Amino acid sequence: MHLKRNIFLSFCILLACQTFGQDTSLYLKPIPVFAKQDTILKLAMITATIPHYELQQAKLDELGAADVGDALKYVPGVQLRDYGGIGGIKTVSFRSLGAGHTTVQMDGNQIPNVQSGVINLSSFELFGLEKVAFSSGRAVDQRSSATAYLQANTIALNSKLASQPTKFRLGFYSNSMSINAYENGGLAQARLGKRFFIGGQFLLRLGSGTYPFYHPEEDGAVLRTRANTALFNYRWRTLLGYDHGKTKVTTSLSFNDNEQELPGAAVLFNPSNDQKLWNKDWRANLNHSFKKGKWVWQNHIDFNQNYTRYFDPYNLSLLGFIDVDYQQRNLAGGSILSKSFRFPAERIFIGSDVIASHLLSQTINGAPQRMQSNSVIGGATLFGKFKLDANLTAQFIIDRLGESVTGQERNYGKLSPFISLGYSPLKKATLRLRTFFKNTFRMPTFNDLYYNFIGNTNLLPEDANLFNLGVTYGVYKKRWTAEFSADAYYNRVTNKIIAIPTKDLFNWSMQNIGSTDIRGVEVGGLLSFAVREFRITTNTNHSFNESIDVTDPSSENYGDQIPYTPYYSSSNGFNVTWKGYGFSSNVLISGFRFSLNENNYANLLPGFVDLNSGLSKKFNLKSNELFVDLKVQNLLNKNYQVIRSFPMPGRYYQLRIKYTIKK
Amino acid sequence: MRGIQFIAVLLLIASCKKPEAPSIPERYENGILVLNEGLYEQNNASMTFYDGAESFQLVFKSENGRGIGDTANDFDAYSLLGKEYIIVAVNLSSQIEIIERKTLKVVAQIPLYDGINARQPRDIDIYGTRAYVCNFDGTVAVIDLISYTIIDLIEVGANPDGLVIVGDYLYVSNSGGLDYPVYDSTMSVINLSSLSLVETFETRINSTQMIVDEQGEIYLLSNGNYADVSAALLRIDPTTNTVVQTIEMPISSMAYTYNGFYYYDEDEQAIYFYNTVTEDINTSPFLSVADYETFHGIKYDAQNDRLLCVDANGYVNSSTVNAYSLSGEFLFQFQAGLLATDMIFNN
Repeated sequence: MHLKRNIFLSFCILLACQTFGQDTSLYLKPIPVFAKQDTILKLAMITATIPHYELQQAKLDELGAADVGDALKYVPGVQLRDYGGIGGIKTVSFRSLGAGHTTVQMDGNQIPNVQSGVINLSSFELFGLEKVAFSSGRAVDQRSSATAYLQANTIALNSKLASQPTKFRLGFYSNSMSINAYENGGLAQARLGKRFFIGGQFLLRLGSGTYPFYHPEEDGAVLRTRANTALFNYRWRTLLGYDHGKTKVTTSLSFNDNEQELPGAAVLFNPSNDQKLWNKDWRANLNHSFKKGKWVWQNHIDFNQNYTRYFDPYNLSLLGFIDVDYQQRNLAGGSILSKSFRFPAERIFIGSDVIASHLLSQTINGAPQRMQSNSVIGGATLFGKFKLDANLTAQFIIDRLGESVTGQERNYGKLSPFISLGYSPLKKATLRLRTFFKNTFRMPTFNDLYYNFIGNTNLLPEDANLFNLGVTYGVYKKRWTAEFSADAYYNRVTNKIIAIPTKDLFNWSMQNIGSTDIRGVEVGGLLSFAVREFRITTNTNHSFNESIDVTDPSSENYGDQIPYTPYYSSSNGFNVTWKGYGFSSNVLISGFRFSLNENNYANLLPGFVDLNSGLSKKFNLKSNELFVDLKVQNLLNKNYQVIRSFPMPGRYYQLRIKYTIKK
Repeated sequence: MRGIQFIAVLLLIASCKKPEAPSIPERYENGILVLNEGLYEQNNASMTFYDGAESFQLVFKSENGRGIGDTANDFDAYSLLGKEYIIVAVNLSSQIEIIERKTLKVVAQIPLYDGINARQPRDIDIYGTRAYVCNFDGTVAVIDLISYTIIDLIEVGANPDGLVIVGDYLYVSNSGGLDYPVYDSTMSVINLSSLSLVETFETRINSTQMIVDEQGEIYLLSNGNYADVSAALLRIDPTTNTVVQTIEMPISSMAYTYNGFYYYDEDEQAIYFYNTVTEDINTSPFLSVADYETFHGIKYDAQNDRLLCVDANGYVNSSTVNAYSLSGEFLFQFQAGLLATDMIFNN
């Protein structure tokens, strides 16, 4: 337990705690289907030749999720890393490609994080979002900037504020949870004359978040309390839009102020937990698009500033405490030009972004700065029953140390191609075969490169190759709908960036040494039918994933399943609506996992079942709508662990009220 | 239907990969009990028992129905009133666990807290009916092993990391290990009769492990700062409480046998022997451990006269323990848990 090790540990803790970026918005008209976006009946309309999932407002309501992380855990193939409680960090991996391979974008604008490369999904509440989309292979949102095409996976968030209201819109939201956590928000949006619209939204989250739990390392004899979990967080966002048919301009400003206690690992028999975290984030975006005939020209300027402070008031050093802060700034600008042909989906596009970032912290060597240029060229075409979609992105990076003593500068340049093919053999296109390949990478982050003692400036980008082969079949009748989809995939990650000890326990370093072979199958089905006034929707998804470590054939771990990756996981939903009443139940099943590389019993984390059920009622009064929903979360009341030493809350209740006025 | 069958087959394949719960030995005799530190905040400190043929993992948990906690740093065996016990210091859980040596059943659990703040016990020494535990918060706790109570707390230096008893005195090396780059460099001396601090003297930065030879001299390991200040071996005369010799060398672990000790040389990646009678180092290595992935300590088994070396395998995998005879011949190997840190040899 020497300092370097402590630094390493606090590095890990900080990775687990950083909350960067945030956003907000409102809610929209129900679309009662949770399906692959891909299920569209006309060949010319095929937009997805890739796995692409969309969670619409009604589905988000059914899930009872409060933030984007909670919602995405129901997407097949997604594993949510959840540290439990309120305000805890949430990230997702999809088919064993982690958060570092995932872009998060709000209304087409990328949310950056050059420090850890990871965006905390619990900073994006669902209130105020029209839609949450997840795609693998390429970004799907046509507003995406060039940067969005780089990475393997994309989480696309569409805010209500960015869409023009008919006249005005007013919404209130409240969510009270019996783990002593509360959320309250409001949204207002109005038209200013014919061409302008303006809106704002606000969210307050607070509470002690305390919950009782049985420690997984005990025999269940002692009921303990997960403490030091209080949160006080408010966020707002405003957006001014101009829509003149051909020309569209939006400008938005967001702010997030967060003060929270950090519930660290639940260390057996040790109740002392007193760390705190503060975040202050600003985000400003200016988006412009100009349409003429079949040409679209889009431009954007983004500014992001994040401040994080971590404080541990009790530490056994002479100083007696740990106090570290991080300041990150990103300025981005870019343009993308596209032209469509016979169909909207048949188009070519070319674009480029320039991003300047810098980071200041006591724990990061030499105030690093990064300049990057990200460019994309791509297109899609339809021929016969086929759709070909391809793009090529290029990233160039110059890293410089601001306070450099050695004046070292580092350059990276990398290409990332994507190609996909869709085939609809039937006239009505209810059967679709699709395949894609993407060769991508993740650049080393500032933590990887410059973190005190651990960072390694010789790192190379981590490479990933993705292959997918899938089929979707849909039957759409007047009174019922059925969909089935199956995907098989193979991903390979090489030059994986991992921390390894160099000389002894006190000297660790980031190295490009890992390789992972990832194979899997996903199958899913959805059935929706109407009987008299009842509408019943049920879906089931099953994922099988083998992600094995192929780093070193002489290692004991060669061929072992990588940490936190279940072989089997499943998400299922059941929903009935009747005259405004709704009943929904969602079950998430995760098989066993391992908390470390070695697949032994000591590292085994048991599987879990997370079941929630709820009743809701929708009252429609002229232009007003009131939605009341009572949910029981984690009905089975088991303090399962997604991450080792972070037990989740047991059974708790959630009451949500949404009130909307639309004109 | 076929879809369900397909899922069932895949489920079956997936469930086959699940490791089985470990079994327990019939008795904890004629074997080696290993304390595995585990990783910080993972609650996975554990014990392994090797009976000469098979190694049994997670034996503490199997016997007690619960984990030992987080970051177990040290354990020692002792006898009291005709019974055999083991005392364990669990650092991050901040507990002293007392268990029966041959059943591993918990007899007592003594929390070490200052209010809600963990003192973090690090190292233990037994003398008579008392256990002396140095805590990372700069104290030494005196524990009565009959009543299992803390009878005194003595303030020492920063982050004490080693204990030895010479005569009626307890020597505590203050590492200041959490204060990089300004480490502590002192030794605290406590009179065991009066339980009072009698002297603090300068040694060298970041000092941790200590051993005492048959002449009563103390050998102290100073780790340096892992950068420009190298590690060193210090010889201390407890009659004058002075450092009589400082040998700068990349030493990181010691195991006392008789008339000398074996130590690990980080640069040479080999085990050497230091003769405490002639005060000489045998310049030819006793054993090369260059093929270890991560050398992590050396222990001496006096009953069987053999040396045990730990390969921590990158610290994130189970450790491997290798046994050698004192002629340097490889005897056997077994697997322990995560970060094997100490051993007790049961007969």
